[in-house]
Amino acid sequence: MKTQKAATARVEITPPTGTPIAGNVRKDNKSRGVHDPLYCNILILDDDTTRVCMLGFDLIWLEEKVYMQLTQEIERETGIPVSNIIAWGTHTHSGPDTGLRMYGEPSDSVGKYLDNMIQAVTGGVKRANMSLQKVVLKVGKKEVAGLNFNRRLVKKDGSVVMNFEEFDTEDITGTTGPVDKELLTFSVWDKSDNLVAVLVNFTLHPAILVGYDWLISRDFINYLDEYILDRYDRRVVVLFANGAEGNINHLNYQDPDQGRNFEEAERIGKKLGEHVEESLKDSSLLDGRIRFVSEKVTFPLREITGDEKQWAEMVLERDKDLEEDQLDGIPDKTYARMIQEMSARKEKVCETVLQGMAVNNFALVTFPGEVYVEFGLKVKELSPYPYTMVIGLANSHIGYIPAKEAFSQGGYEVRTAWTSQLTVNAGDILVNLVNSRILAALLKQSVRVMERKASDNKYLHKDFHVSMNMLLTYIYDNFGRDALISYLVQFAGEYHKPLNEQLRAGNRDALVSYLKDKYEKEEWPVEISVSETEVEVSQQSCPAISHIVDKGEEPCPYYRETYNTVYKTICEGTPYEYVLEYFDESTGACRQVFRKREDKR
Amino acid sequence: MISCTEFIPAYSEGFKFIDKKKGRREVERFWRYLSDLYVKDRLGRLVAEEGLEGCFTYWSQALNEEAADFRMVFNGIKGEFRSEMRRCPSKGMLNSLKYMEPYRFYCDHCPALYGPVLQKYGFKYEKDMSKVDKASCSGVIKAG
Repeated sequence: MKTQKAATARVEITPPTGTPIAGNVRKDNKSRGVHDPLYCNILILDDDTTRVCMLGFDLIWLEEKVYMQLTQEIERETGIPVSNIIAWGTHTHSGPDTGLRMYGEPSDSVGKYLDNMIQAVTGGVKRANMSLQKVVLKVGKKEVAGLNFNRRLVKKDGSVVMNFEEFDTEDITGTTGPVDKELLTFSVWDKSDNLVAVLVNFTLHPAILVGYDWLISRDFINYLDEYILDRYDRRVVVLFANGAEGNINHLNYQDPDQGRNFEEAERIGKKLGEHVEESLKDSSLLDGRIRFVSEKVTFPLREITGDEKQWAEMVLERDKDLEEDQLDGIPDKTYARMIQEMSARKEKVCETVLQGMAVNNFALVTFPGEVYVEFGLKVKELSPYPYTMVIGLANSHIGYIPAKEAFSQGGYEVRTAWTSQLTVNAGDILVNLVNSRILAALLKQSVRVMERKASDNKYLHKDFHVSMNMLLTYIYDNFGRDALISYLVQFAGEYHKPLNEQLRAGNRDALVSYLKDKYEKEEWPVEISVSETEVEVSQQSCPAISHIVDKGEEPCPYYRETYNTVYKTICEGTPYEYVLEYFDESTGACRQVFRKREDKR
Repeated sequence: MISCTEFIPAYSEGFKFIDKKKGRREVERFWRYLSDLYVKDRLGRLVAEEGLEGCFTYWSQALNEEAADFRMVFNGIKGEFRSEMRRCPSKGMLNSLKYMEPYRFYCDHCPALYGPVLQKYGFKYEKDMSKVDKASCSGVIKAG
């Protein structure tokens, strides 16, 4: 099995009370306290060739500026290249407001929080990086029904309403798209088969709580985590990574009594925990190298239309005295403010990074924002890896990436804002980039093909000298010197029969050609002088002995017989006799003479 | 000196010699000796370092140096290494030496040498030897 190593760490990143809470636009969004602490869960993987660092943050997401600052700091402190660091937000809507652009520049408290967080997480990675241990990797998956829902509902008149908005259940005919029911686990086990870490991938907005009671929380992830720690070991590090959750949340429109409180977060988290446990039990081994790909890519930005600019001006005037205050979604005034900010920018594209990792039949790919589930499912369908994780909200946040159809249907995710800034075909661009640049590159590493014709190469496998030496040694050790010589006589008698016949017929040139050809193929310097009565061969060393010694082996006793016996056998019954005039046992330097026998008649 | 380009007939004659001395079991003992001494240090080391992919590394060097006509695929997703020897340089050379009789179990040395080493690392080596008389064979190595 390929050696795999891993290290883990868990760094608390709970913000101080009073820090604004992300994921909602309320007038007063300052946190009042902590329901459960937030973490950055760290997993470092290494296979002696590639080192990858995964960072799962209990945050709404990481802005590009923060991602760059963090990864550069980690690279400086640990040597793990920026390109090999995958950082994502779990997307809890009850964490600090790190979605900077959505609400303007960060407040002082968020800015200070981010600086401290970067230092703390870098320290955690640095410590983990020094404690890599040998591990076994496994992958598993389960289908999860009834926990995640497509949040875009279709009304009888064909219009679309979000499942967190007002609607009459009787008026709903279904949803605009599918859900991804797959839950995947990538787990790390120590040599004694104890769970060390698990990366859980499931597609679901952690927006059950949305700053419930103004308390900081990981949302349902807290309960999922607790479930696993209770079942296995409190030291296990659980990394939750969301999927393509752009249009997926927990709200079942057919259940009007569904709560949005800690009880509901607990119900969902524990249920997911049970599925994780089952997936871990059915996991299969991952053996092989870690393949990793990282690509910088760009996405075209949506142009702000004249109508949008006019609308923004109108709203800002109309709502100038209104506070921006809304739990789900975004108020008009906030949209209008963002449209004005966006129309002032000069950039036509936004830059981000896509990453992919594969081990054996498992792969993960990253999505840089909140992507509609349709695109996540498409990537899974295109992937040659049976276990493919799509990790959303990774590395930076470039906003929602909705399906094209959604733009004519309307709804929260398509309205132009910092959270929805890309062209309508961004989803197709993303799938194409992931498929052609990430999955294709991983596949190229995972599946290697070599095809050759005999004529493509020269026939020269020097290691055959080592094998030959082992054959000679075996015969000598087991049957003795005489047997060794008998074997060489047998070989030379059989193999060199045609040459022997040529020599018997007096064809000395056949011998000379044979010798020249042999040394030429060996690419070995030799002096061959030919006279009327003699063919003399002198060499400074033997190619066979040189290779055997180079490989740390010892030539077989009587190795000289591969000259002496073999050539004497070739000369048997011919007008030539063979004399090994000199032979250095350690180097094989020698002088050999094929001499015409004196005519005794 | 027996050149490395003359090794194959020397090898075949070696098997014949040992077989004549002490029978087929002794030949198998010799193959095991080669497997432990030669293959373990080479293929074994690569498989220990690279996993199944070590097979690709090992044979990509050996088969190119032997000028074989082959196609091999390491499929890290399926977890298998497949090789198709369209013309084995060893058996092909022996077949071309019409004046010599190759050792009748010559091709058996291949699974005998590699099988035990791969087994040690949890891999199973399956060979299709039905076309060895035409110097052609194929094999699959996977976990098992």
